[in-house]
Amino acid sequence: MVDTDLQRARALLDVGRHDQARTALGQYLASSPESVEALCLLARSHQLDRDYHEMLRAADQAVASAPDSEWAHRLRSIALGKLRLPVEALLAARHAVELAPHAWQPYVIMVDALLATGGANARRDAFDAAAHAQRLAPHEPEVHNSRGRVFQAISDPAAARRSYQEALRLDAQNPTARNNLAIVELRRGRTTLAGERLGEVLADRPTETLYQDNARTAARTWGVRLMDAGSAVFLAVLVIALTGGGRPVLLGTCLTLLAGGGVLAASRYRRLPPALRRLVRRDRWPLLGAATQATVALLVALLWRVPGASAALVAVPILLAMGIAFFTVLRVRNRAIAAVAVFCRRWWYRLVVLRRS
Amino acid sequence: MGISDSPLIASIRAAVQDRPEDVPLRLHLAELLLNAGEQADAITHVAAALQRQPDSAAGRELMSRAIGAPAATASVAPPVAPPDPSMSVDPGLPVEPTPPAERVLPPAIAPSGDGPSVDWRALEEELSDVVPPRFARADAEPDPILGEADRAFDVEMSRVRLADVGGMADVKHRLELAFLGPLRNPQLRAMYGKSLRGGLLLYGPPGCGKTFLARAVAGEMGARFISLSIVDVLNMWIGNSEKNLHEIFGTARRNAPCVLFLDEIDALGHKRSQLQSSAMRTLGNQLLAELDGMEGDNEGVFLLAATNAPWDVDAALRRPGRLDRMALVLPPDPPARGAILEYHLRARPIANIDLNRLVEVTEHFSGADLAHLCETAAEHAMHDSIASGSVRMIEQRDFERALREVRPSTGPWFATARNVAMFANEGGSYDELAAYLKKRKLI
Repeated sequence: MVDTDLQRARALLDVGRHDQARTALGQYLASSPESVEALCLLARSHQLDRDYHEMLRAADQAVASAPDSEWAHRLRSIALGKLRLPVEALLAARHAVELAPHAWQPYVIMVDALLATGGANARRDAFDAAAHAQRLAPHEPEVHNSRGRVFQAISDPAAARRSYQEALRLDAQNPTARNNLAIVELRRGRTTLAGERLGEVLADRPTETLYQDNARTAARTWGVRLMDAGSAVFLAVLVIALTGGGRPVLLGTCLTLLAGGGVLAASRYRRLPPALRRLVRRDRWPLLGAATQATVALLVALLWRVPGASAALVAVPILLAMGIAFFTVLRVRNRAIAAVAVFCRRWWYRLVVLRRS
Repeated sequence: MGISDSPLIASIRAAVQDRPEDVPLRLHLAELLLNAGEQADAITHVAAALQRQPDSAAGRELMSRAIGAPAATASVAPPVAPPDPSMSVDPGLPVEPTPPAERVLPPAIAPSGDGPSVDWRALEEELSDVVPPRFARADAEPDPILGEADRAFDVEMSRVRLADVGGMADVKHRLELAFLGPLRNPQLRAMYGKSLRGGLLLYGPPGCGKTFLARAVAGEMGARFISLSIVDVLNMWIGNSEKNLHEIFGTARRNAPCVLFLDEIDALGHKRSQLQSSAMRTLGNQLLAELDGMEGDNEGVFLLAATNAPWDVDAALRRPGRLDRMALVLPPDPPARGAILEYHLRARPIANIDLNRLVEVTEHFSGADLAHLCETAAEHAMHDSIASGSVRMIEQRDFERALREVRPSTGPWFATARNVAMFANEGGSYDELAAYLKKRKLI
């Protein structure tokens, strides 16, 4: 009967009935208050409800009743990590590893704890732990996901992508791998591809807030890229105008770039899943920015050195142009700095930090 | 109404109908009826009065007179006695069939030497026919068909009809097309080659009447009704789930036409990719096999399923031949809200309730929320009555207070559903939901 309660709790947790699972666990714990399995399941139920204080409380109880349970320490580490106590989380994860050095799960938890603490040494340790977990269970998708997270942390998106792809090879539906792969693509500027992947993940798990947030980020990034394209058209027109290009050249270049860019953007847009398209449409500021820049570029091309054009008619586009140019240059500069930083960081880790492991 | 009613009785009877909660008036009527020789009618009224005021000494005395028993006075039979499990004949409790030798009668009514003995079981049976239930079940609770006593589920006949379900015109129309029409027209069905199998998934916010609707479908079809939920599975079946599931489908096939209702299908048929427990995965596979009729012919077995979370249902369950149609069961529309409010107020003392206003301000309220609203308003009126010492009716102000406390419980569901309609409607499964959300500007 008692065992039945545990089975029932496990099944209820599986099908998302967390409250009912807790009721079953309560019945079980009434007769076996020291049961580490029941306490761990209780902690897990709170984890699924994102109630990390209660999760920690249950995990603490589990650790108190069975200090040699690696599962209890592992759950405790997760709870502490979620409560932004990275040092304590790392200690708990290390306990779990000591208790079960041949299991891959504690290493995966330790990787997350190490990444949360930050710092080059912690990342190197995380790299080692992930590699060890992979050696222990190469068939386990979560191990590859963990390794992918380490590669992302050390700015090696190509290696991260390979790890997530390996996880997907082992489990084609793995939502973590699909989401993280989308994030890698997003960070590499492949917004349409990222949007496609996130659309797939969300179609499978539409209620996950993390995936929803990522989809919103992808949609906004897609819009910002469109704005960048508008800036590029505008800058091209401005350069031609300032270098003395005639009005027909100016107008022709502008229209060609706008038409080409428009066709390209439309084809990319159509590739996005409907949900992402809706999010792109909803986030109006980047779209408005892109449209403004395209319009100003066209105005500059039309009005540049028009005989008889009033000063105001010429000045307004030029002022707008200067403003847009300023922000565009600023954005391009920031992106260039970030790209250089990522590049340096990747090679520093590859050549210096990871060599010491 | 008795044919020999005097004008006095007739007018008091009319007054009682107007004010059913007035216990002294009802007792007065009962006494007059008793004096006029209309014993059965008198018993009905005394019983109704005693339901409202079980400790009414006058009521009990009148009842004793009506049934021909010696008057039970307070000195020999305390009106409110603590329940005693050994008193299996306590009139306030359901009577269990007990062997006569083991029956223990309360001292006050035990047969004494030469006094008339009272056959309490007979009285209970008599009263069960004439005393209306305090809260009408509205035929919502079907009577189980007896047999196969050891099984963990009941095959029932439902007396609820679709007409009893307020609103939901679209859902009813769809049910008519998918199930009811083909069943009523066997020749047309044969001509078009329409099979009497398949399933419908009802989904929507909690408390909006999905289960009630399923019973109504069964009632409308004149079909038997078997209900199964995850609670049944996990409470009774752990370790034996597949066998019991097979048995349920077997019973449904033997009782065809039969509506098999799977409540909380998102738990029974959860996405297998998200399941870690092998027991639940095996159960899901068994459910699929049964739905496909691999274990027997499902002709005449109508599958109805209900869930608050259709997005958690395994996609395999929604393939053609299984739960291939979906119907959204939304919070009640204004006419349905009016009907629900009236239903929940039918047996309560109310005065000057502005039903139209209540209907207007309870948009997004589920049926359960409306019931809770009525309950809360009644609580306020009752609390006031206790505090002031004078009984008063439930008034509009009680509802206004209740409305400040009771909020529609459908909000979180729509917040989730909004994301589903946005992100998981690739195949158009949630078009109906998306259209509703768009109409309400929730998306």
